[in-house]
Amino acid sequence: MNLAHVLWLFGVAVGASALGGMLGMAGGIFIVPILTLFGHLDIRTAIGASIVSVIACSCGSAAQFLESGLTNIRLAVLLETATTAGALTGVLLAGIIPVPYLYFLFALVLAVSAKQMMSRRGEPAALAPTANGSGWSAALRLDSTYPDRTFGQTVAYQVQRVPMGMSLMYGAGLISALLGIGSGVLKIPAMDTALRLPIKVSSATSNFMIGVTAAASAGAYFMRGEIIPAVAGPVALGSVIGSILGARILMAISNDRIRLFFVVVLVALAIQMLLSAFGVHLVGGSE
Amino acid sequence: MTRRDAIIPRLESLLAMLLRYGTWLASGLIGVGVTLALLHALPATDTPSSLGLRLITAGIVCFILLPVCRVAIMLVVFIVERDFRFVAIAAAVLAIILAGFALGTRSAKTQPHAGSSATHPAK
Repeated sequence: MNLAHVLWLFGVAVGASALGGMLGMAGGIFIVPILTLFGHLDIRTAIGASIVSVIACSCGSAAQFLESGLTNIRLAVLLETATTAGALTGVLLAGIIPVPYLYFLFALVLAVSAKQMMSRRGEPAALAPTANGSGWSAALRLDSTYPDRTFGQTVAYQVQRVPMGMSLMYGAGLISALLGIGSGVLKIPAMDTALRLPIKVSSATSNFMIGVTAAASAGAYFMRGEIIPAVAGPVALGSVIGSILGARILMAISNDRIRLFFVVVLVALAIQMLLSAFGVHLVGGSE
Repeated sequence: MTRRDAIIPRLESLLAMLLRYGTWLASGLIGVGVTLALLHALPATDTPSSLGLRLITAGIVCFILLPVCRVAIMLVVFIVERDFRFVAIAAAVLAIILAGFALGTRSAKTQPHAGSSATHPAK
């Protein structure tokens, strides 16, 4: 361990998590590409470090969300059965999938995230109450309320199409474990199109689930010895600090500018990862 | 109905407290560990060699266990609430996470180097 390397890892994690935190995501989606492309770390080492960082980000910000009363804890626990099962599948696959495929898959997820960022997310429609709610939601008492500050009142909402939401969550958990990312971006379709949650509730609930999902895969990677303390330690520490910073900066800069910057970074990283999948290294290849 | 409404806010603040202090503890362990490891790397200092890395590992284990504790607390609260469907659901989540640990341990045995740092990271 030397100072320059530790500072570099720490700096990458602060930057990535601050950037992610500004839009309410974990920084994992930036950490893995930067560590592999610029730091020339093994992609599995990077994924191991990143998954710890995802937990760190989630734990740091989940407390705030919980106190705001936006998290639907019951729904989160239910969906966690699907995300953790997906995570275990991901861990099993991670041992089998060849490294170039991992790069390719990562490029794909970066591209999907960029697209997701561009399309503005509207409040899901059809919040109109269905007669008695679906069987699942009623049987498990998933419907809840949240305090809305803009209207200064408590808003009630219903949870819809739970089985479809669960299947999408299984996929999100799988990708999260496989690539060492929080995959909050991939949870958005499940939250919006299937479950039809209000945006604030879905961000808080998704954030709450990310930690538990990541713990399922991080536990397995840790026992397997794929989490290297000398790398994961500085990255985790930087992530905690970065996510705190990100939440602060969020208030200062306009949302549109962050969004554009985000898309540019995501697309650039996607191209790099795609090239790496085919064995082309543009950055620092000679080092 | 009234009992459930009383328990959920308590659960929320309990979980928020766990996450907040847990994050501080884990970050603290890693921070001290990194500092010690760096001091050790300097020439002409004689800090104990593996202590830094052990503290870092302990911090990482802390981070991994935080969400597990979170689910465990939820499980207890659901038991107190006598909400047995959710007791089963939370237990299933815990079981899946523990299965992950077991899965990692089993595949670590095939690679002799890996996983050796997993046992008792810090004393």
